[in-house]
Amino acid sequence: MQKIELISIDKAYEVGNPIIENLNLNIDDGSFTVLLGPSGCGKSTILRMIAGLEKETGGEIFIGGKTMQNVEPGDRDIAMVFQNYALYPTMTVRGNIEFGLENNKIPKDERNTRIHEICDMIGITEYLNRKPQSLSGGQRQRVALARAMVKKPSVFLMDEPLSNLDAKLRSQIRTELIELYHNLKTTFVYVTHDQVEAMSMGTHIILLNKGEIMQQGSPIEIYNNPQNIFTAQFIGTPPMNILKMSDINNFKRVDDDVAYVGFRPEHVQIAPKNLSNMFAGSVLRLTGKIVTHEVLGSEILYKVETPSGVILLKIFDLSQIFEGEISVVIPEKNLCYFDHNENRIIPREIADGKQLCI
Amino acid sequence: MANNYVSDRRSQSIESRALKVNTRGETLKIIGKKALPYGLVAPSLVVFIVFMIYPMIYMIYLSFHKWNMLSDKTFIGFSNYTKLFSDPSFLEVVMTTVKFMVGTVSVSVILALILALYLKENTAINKFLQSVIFAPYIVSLVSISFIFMWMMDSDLGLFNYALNLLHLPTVRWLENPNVAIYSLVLVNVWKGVGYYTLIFISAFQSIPPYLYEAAKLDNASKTKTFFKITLPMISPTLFFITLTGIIGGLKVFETINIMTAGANGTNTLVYNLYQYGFQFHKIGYASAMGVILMVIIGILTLFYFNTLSKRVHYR
Amino acid sequence: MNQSSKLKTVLKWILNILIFLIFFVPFYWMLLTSIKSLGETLQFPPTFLVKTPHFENFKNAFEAIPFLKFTVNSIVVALGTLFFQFITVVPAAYAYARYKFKFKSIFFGATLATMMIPAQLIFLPVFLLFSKWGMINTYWSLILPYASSAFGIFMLRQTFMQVPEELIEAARLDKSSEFQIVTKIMLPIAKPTLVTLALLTFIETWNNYFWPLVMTTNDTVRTLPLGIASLRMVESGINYHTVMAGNVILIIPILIAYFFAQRHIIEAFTYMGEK
Repeated sequence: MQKIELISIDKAYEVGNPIIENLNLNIDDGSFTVLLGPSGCGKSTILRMIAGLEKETGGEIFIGGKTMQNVEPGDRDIAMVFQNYALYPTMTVRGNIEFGLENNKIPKDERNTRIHEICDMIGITEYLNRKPQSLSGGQRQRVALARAMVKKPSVFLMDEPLSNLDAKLRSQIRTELIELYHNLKTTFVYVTHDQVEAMSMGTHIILLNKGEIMQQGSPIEIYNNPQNIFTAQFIGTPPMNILKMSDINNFKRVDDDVAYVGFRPEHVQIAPKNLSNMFAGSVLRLTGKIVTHEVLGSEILYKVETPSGVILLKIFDLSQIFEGEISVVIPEKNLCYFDHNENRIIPREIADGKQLCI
Repeated sequence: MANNYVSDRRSQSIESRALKVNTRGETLKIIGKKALPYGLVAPSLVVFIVFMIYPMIYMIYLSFHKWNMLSDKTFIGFSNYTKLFSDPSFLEVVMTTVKFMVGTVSVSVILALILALYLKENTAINKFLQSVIFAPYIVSLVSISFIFMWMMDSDLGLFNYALNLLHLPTVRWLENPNVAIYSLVLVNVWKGVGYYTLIFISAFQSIPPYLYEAAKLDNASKTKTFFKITLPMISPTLFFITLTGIIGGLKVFETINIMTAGANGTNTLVYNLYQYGFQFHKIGYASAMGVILMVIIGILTLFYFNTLSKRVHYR
Repeated sequence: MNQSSKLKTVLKWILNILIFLIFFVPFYWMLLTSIKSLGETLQFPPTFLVKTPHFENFKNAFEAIPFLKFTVNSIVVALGTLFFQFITVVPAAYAYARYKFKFKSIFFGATLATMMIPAQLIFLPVFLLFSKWGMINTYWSLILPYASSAFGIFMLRQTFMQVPEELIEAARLDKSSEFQIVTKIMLPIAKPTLVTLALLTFIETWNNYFWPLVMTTNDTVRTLPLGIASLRMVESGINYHTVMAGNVILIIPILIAYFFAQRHIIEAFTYMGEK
């Protein structure tokens, strides 16, 4: 169990074209930290630099307080699970799991004990003498996990380990990983582009975009309290609706710094057009026309065209399907405001305890 | 506070790195890492340079000299070349080489195409026949030459026996100067046609089947499908085979050495080169022949790669 | 089955048998002649079966030339060539596949270009080189020029490049040295390619007649194909029954290899054409 610190990290594959600049990052001891972001945001590169597979151009990485300058990947006390599993095709499952232990000069008896312990836990004992090619995707994934776990590393690095699995298996192994984390209480660093994976597994999410940290915090915090439009739209499906302040005339005068207002599709209420006044209190009212609806089982997704722009609504009331002209109501407490730089701000009026909506 | 900590660590790290780069061990390690790939490719490069590239340069040098390996080399400029080009027997050798090359390549390619079309389906019998026709390719050309020499024997050979049976006049396969070179072509075609056939078959099999399905829907005839789809799709293969066939034809030696020893109008460039170098010890003259051969192969190779890089890739 | 498709099947079988005979009869003729007596070889029309096989032809072949020596020479040269090719081809292929370095494309291009240079073009200067070094009639003159293989480097590089990067990274995380990565990961993965290349080299070396012919002036290091060729000069005229007996011995190892590793051998020989 070790904490990981990245200090002023720069990374450039070609001179003059850095993909990461002056990145500072702390990964707490024993946390399940998820590096989340769209492809090309640098999340895998960060993971690979922690592993030592990629050399940072500038800055320094510390694991457990020790500098990782010139420390080979094999000596960093880490284990990594790759997206395509990277199992050695010419070795049996046992050979795959044992390889790292042999190289670390662990005595034969202990190797056997460890292998059996881990394989029983993960449930792959019966495949020990098979070659990876004869295993299914889920089995291979488990072997890759076992290979990482058997080394008893202080840090687990995982690079999109679930993305090659089908949806059902993915959610199954996701649950298993959470259990594993609770059993091992080791630091996990997990890279993914899938916000559902991040939200469901992580204790700490670091959201990245173009090599910069957009926001970090617990899943709840990131969901409830997005600090910028990028975060607001990356977390949550469908993404947060963002409308230009200038397109909305339902507000009292708001200070000029506020450029956008946003609200989550699940935080709205919907009513036939003429009944919109039934909602009391300070609310934002929009009227519009339903373009499409998708019944998803537990909820219905509406796409609505309003004079202020197209918005998406997620309605859990399955008793009726709305059509045509409707009213949409969003409680003022659920509105997020952003400035011209797309960063979250609290308008002065709200800070003063006033209501903004007409 | 936090900021201070960061910049502190950063300057520390820069210092420590600067220190590390300066230590001797580190420097050596870095040099070692840089030199490793060169060390890895060096043995193979040494072999190629000493036994391939240097000999070619040395041959060019020798071609400007007169040398019988006993006396000293004397520089004679382009004399070997002017002598070569004015020597009618050399021109005959060139003509023989061309006959042999063109004969072998054209017959092999056409036969192989037909065989490949006939055997391209992966049935058991076809697979068996494929391995049967490929077998001669991996057998020593020395053995094959002897077998055919025996079968082509004018008096006791199997070939003439077969002609007898069919009441046809017998042929002096290896003695008749008008026939001998084509007898050698026959031997080389027999040895190589299986190789070409298998390459054509794999080229045929790599043509996506939907092309044929589309052609069928467009009501194309079989002939039209062959000329409009199959042939264009395998043209890179055809091109490759033709080139390897030509170079293979240029360098053929065993058949001639064993079956005719260059007599009866079968003396080719390579065999002539061998005779001048090893039997008549005219090293300079032989080298000049070698240089001509080298130029021919060079032009063919350049032409090949040039065309290859310009060609549209269908796949 | 209707009339025309029946005819088609018959025609097809006739054609199949014809193709088979064209490629089989010469080999059959060799086998048959190898067990005929001298008298039988001189009969015309020739006989197609042998009543009493004359296996002494093989003994005669053995006695007419230093057969054992030629065989040993063939094996030494083949194994020596294989050994040297392994130690030059594997590192080079690995470097071309996995490292970036200056002049890489020039080196690799030059390597590929040597594939176009036939032995028949450069034997004269190479002979002069070896005679200057006093190495004519040594194994070195037969092995060293073939101590590396451009084709082998090309094919093995291709195989190495197909190994996913993550596999090497996983090995590095498992604390493998660069050397271990090659021996424990890359070479086992490349085993089919290595077997194919080894077969190719063995067959080519075993069959090689030209190079031993031009690099030797006496029997010390001469190989089997030269021995077989010298059988014809034993007496006046060619004793085909003895020559064919020698031929059988020369061909049999190749045919056995072909029987067991047909797929590998065909793949090796047709690899270039299929690119």
